[in-house]
Amino acid sequence: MPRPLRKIRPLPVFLLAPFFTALFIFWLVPLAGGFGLSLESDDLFGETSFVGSLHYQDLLHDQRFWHAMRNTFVYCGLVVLLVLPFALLLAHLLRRVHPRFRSPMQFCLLLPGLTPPLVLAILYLMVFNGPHGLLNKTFLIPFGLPNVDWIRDPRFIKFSLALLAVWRWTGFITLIFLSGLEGIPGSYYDSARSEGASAWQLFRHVTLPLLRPVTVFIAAFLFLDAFALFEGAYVLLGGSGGTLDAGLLLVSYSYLTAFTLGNFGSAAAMAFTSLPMLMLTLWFILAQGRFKRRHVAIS
Amino acid sequence: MWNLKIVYIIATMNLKSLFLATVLMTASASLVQAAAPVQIWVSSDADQKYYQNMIEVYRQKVDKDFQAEIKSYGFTEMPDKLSIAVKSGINTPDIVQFDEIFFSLYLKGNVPFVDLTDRLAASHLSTGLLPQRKGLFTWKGRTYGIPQSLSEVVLWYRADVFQDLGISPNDINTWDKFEAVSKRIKTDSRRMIVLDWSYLDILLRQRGYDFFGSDGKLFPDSAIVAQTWQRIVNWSKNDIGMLPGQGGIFSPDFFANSVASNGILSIIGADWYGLDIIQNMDPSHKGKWRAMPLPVWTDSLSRGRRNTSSFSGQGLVIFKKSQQVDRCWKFIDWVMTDVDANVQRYLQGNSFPCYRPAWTDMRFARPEPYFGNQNLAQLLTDGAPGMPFTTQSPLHAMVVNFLREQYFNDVVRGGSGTTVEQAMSGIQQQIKNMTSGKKPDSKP
Repeated sequence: MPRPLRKIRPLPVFLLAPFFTALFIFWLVPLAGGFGLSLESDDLFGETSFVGSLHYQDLLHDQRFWHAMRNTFVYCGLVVLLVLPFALLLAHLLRRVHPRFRSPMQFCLLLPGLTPPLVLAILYLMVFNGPHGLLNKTFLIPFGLPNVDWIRDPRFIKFSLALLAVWRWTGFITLIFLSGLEGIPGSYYDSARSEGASAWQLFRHVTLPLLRPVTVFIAAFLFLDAFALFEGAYVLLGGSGGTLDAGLLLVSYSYLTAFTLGNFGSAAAMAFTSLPMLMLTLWFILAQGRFKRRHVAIS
Repeated sequence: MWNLKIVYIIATMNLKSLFLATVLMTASASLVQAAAPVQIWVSSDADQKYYQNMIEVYRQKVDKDFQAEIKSYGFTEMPDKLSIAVKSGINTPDIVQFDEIFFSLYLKGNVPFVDLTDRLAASHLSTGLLPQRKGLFTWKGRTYGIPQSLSEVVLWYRADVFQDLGISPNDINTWDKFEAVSKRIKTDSRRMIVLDWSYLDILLRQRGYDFFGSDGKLFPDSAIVAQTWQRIVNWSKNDIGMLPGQGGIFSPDFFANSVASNGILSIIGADWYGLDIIQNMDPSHKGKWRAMPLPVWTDSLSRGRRNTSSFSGQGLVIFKKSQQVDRCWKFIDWVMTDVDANVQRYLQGNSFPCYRPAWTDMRFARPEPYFGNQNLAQLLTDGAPGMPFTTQSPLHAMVVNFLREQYFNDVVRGGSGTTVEQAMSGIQQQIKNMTSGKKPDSKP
């Protein structure tokens, strides 16, 4: 028997209409415009011609695009892998700090996250600026270690970019972890301890599983932020990929293609090509949370 | 109530009065459009101030109805904004002031700027502009912009340290002598010169060559390019020169470290580099910097014994979709030919003009306190006739980008073992791939 059609109530429609209108105007229309641009020729001025999937086909043979794609995923992975454990460790340590000192420490941790990435990148530049940078001056040169050109040496560029994200986000992520840790009921630990669980077992079998939703959210957040990194890379590498393209990210390459080469159609195609890969990765990260929830429920 | 009144008025009009009303409305609409301010985009706050002043003077002297709105963008922000405006057709400017390297970005396909060739020919500018600068905004025989600065390259040096070390400008008037002296005075913390990607462009032009041939071919004299680039690499290897930190020779960090500590004694740079960048970023060395002609090349392959060169330079263009091309041109023609406007550009904006009739104004000959009261105008005007011609190309910005961001430092530093020839081949390959429809490979 077919389900009877639900009567559409006008009030919710009325209340939701502004949101969906804004979504349509400010998100879907530009998105469609961007997709249209990716099907047009690369002429900057005057009439453009419809080129269909030409830019997408070009991308398949564009080694620089794939190089940027690889760099982006490596960079995103580095950020997630560096920030997550470090922030979790800090959160654990912060829980053990006397409550009187906790608030000022939390504030200090939050500061880099509140600083605009552009400003942060300039500060970062002062620290990592080759022989004149604070890092080399303080930690390498006095100990007779060779100077490292963190931003120009292709071996260190990606790592330097990742460190910028670590610097920016570790404090903020620590606070999220701290909230997650505070939310775990103490009774779980008490019953596990009564069963003779060690500190590591408590962490492994109580803290980690219960923190998983928070961890998945953080991983997705960090991945998205890293994927869209522009200001930092722009300041550090001058809008380019740096020496030998070692720090060329998809966003930088897209910017370069549009603004340095004047190929807006190709740049739009680039952005749309990376979209499914980004969605797939995010789905994979978020699926970890769902899988574990089910797994925990079964056990 | 008002609606009813309007309906009543229209209904009672006869055809003749309706026609008159239409004509009146159209005319007033045209007047409104004619009075729309000219939109001028400039590349710095100093330029904004200068043009604001010039508009006032222009209104007093030439066109009392002239209205303009000036927007100032950052030097590198400007082409981004302009590209978006050109592509979208939204919020477009009428006049744009920007650099010749960025200008090359717009030469691919349909050029979005008004062809000024005929207007230039009919203006005093045709004879007044230094001929070497006319090619700056010229592509395929058509001129799209008017250069506003001389951009003559000199050697900026620290006179106080030179004096302490017993060096006079005559001791380094050839590159061979320059190298010999540099080797003698180098220490662990001191180098004669800082190295920058722009030197390749500058030195190549000084030798009578260019990145592009008149047919647009990249590196038409590749052996000379390689030889010039290698000489810069050797400066690094022999501790004659050193690379600055990230941000290059325009970075405050470079001045705060290498320059402040007397670690760098000279910089190759255009007139505006010394007048603007050094003067503003290194105030502590007031009176200690001087300028001298570039040391000359003495080898047989270099064409002429030129002691100067040119680098970059800004100019004014008119956007093709502008509704006020004539008004824009009249203003440009005036601001580039009026002697006082040229003098003020130097006095207010540290930009030495390339309009020769203005050079006789005595205000140019002022002693520059920052440069130890040196008469820079004399040095620049003496050297100007020897300046090289420039060849524009749609590939210019791309080549500069590849050179600056990917290859120059890597080759000079020598870390990854990339040779000059490999780097040149890499740039050529990337450009070739790009212009043939395929995208470039990232490796040389």
